[in-house]
Amino acid sequence: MIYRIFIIIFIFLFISCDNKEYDIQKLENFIGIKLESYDVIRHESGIAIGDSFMVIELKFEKKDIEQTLKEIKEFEKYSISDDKSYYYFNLINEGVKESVIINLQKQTLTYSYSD
Amino acid sequence: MKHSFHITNKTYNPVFWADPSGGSVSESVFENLGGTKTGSFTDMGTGTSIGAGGAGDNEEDKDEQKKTSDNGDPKNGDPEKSESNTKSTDCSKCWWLNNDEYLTFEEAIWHYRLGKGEPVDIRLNKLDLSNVKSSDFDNHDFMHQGSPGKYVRLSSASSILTGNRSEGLVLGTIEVVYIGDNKVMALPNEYNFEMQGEKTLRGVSRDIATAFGGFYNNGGMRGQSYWIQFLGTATIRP
Repeated sequence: MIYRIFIIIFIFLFISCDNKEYDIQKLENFIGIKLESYDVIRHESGIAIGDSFMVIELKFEKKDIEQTLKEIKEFEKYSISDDKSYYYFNLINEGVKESVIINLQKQTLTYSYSD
Repeated sequence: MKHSFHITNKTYNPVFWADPSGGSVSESVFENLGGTKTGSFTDMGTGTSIGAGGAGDNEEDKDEQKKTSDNGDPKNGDPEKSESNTKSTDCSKCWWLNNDEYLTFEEAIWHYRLGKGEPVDIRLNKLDLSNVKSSDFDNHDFMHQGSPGKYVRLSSASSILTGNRSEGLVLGTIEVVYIGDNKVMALPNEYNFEMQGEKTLRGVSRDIATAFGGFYNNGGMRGQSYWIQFLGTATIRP
């Protein structure tokens, strides 16, 4: 019986909508700059009992992604991969994990959020 | 299920300190820490190895764990720490757990009610990760100590229908990190029912489900959240 109730809840959760604008705003607040001229190439989110996550990936022109990287506040906290192709940064606070990955080769910025 | 900070979390941040080889979190690491930490800046040079850790189920796994340490540095192996990290938490008073390094829905609920926040260890390769492929990590969601990570929904529709419902209910979404050679580890996960209060449909839906889950899990008692730690590694499809 209890499984059936939970399955009904899961179905309800699956149909909850994605809010792209809200998530992009969240990303902008996190990195401290306003983003322009991008395409959203991936947007995933999911929720369950006691947790949720969201991933959004933006594609930029080459000059735009480099400019974005320069403008990011607190850039010094970012780590860089050995091949210098991408930069990344994680912050875990108050039960929320936020992560940014900038891939210069693919010209993408990936932001993920989970609680 | 979620990662959450409670009163001890300023120094106890199991996500940051998780061993990429899949070993459990060692308390001795935290005893040796001097300051406090409120955020985690991965690979900023502060990553302290907690030993090669990780419990392999075959010789290949064991060999892998000897080579791998924090930040993927193969030089940091410590046999003594490795040994300690292969053992699961011994909760001898937890009569409701059958100590098989797996957590059923019923066990999870009773541990929430009676476990007083004691962490529980699960052997990662006992979970159904058949929906996870190595190629999924080409589009990773986050980086953990230099390795790509994905959010894996054990509570997704396909997992619920084809796999183990119990795992979806207990674990929800887990953070899986790819460590190479078709092997993954998973970051610790907290079993709790905290509300987030996000004013979106997604946030409200999450909180409604969480409230229902919390009500059912409490069962008239006052439950206490606890960490679920994943031991060892699991092999996934290429």
